[in-house]
Amino acid sequence: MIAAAHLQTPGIYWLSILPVVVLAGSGVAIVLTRAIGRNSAVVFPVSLVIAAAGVIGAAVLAVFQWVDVERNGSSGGPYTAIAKMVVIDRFGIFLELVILGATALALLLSIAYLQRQELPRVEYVALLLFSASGMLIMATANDLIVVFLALEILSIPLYVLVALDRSRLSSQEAGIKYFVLGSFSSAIFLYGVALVYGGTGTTTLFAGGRSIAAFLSGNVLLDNSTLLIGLMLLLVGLGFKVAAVPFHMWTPDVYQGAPTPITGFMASATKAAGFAALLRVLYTAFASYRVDWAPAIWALAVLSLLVGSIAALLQSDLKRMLAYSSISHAGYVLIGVQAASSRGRESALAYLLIYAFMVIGSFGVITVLTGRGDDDHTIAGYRGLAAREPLLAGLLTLFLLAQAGVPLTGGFVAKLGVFEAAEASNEYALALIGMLAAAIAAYFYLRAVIAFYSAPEGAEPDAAPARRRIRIDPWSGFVLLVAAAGVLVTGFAPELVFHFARQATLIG
Amino acid sequence: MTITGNYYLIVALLLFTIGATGLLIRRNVLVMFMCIELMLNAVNLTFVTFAKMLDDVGGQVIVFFTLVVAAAEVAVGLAIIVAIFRRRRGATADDIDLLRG
Repeated sequence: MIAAAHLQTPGIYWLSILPVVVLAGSGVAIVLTRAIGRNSAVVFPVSLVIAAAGVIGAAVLAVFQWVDVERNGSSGGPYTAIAKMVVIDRFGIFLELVILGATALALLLSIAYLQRQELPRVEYVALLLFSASGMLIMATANDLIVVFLALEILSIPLYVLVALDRSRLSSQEAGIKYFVLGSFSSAIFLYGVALVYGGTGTTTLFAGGRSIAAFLSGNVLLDNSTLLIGLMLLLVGLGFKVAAVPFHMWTPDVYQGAPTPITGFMASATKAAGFAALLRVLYTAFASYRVDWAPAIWALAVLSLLVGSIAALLQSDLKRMLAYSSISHAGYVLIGVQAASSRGRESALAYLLIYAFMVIGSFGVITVLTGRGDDDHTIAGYRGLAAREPLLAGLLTLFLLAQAGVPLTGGFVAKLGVFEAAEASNEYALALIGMLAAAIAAYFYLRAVIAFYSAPEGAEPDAAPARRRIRIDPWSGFVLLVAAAGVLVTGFAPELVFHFARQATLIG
Repeated sequence: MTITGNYYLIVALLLFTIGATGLLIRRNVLVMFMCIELMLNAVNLTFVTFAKMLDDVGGQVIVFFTLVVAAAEVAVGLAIIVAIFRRRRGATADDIDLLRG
């Protein structure tokens, strides 16, 4: 019999997980509020206040960690905590802040939308916070099992959120497709964890003593096939989450069917969380196996870029087109990942931050434009938008042009960053394919923009445009303003983003 | 004949392959759901076998985490399935084809 007194429990350094605790705690508080307040009218406003407190509190703590980690008295730099399960470095904190920003914008965007679509509002807010707390765990996970748990904590609420609109069959269909394929990818990821565990005897990513990184740098394996198969299965699992081709099949359906603010949230925050895990696994644990994983990432990047941009050309639905464009954006980030250098890390981080602004802005405008029901997003239906809604059409044009990578917008800066990283690592072919994909992509973004500024089909040329102005609610207006400012500021002053991205170093 | 750890690993691999194949070829959503469970449990078997082979308790602890995750997935997945099939008859994946392109 094992005496309990002999069990060594790990010390818990609470500051390291405090942002997650605060965010998840605010989600729990909202669920309790709902249980206590039942259907009272104040429950939703109260839950919004709690959510705001949670997100802002977590962000403040993350900023504090950002400052604290470099002047940490005991270790003076990035450190691991809680039996090496969690790592605190500026890389993770940078992505935590991106995720929290995207969560805040998605929440603000949802307030009027939830009212319009008559969705269960309080549950929606709580689920969004739970999902976001999973993403925060993912950004700071230092153990493959923690990565797996984070993957599930972020996915399970998302399955529900995607399927939440019970009045639309498309939402439920998207939910079940996301659920089946998401669980499939999680199971594959877990099998990868098991094989890596079998190959190295540990699941800790990076730490002194016992960890995958230490094991691989200290030992030369005679037969590393188990380990390599495990690594490839990990890539498959994470490839699903970041929507890289050939693991992208779910993306168009889910992005199209999900409630539009959730689509924006998935495209920005989930992608950031997925890449956080991908970068950390490849750059810290498997840094010495670069020759093995770099070709795989190369192939994923090329396929994502080409399939994403070419398939987007064929779409007639705006949300679906943006889904394929988000697949090609994953390809650009993968260019940065493939570089396997500090330049590559920097450019991937900057790309994720700028892309969050662009994509939340795009889906933000679409959210504002949806009336009751969220199904009709054909590009043909957006013809003549500029005559009806000059302001919203102008904003959507800005966001689409930024995604296309037009100079003086953040999108250009982001793309330039990953191409420079690829060139610095002598990956000229990859950079060239990226530029080619950007040229193809420019065509479908411009096609949508031209539709906004042309007359609607069947309209008489002289007829005065029907001026049925949509009132932009203040919260959505604020989101659009922030997103537009983000896109423009990063475009004019790229140094601002890259300054912080450069400081966002990984442990080790 | 002694049964070494490798036999267990091969059984686990077979179970995982059956689960993955079943998920891809079966059309009934509930059966697809069971296939996911089969895959997760095959992984559990792999973890336990490696834990025994490496003489490390970590792999056995991981199984508990997997079980919890699988239970949470079942709860949410069944809820989504029930919600969607209240509105239509039968649980065939081929009927869910609104979104395509």
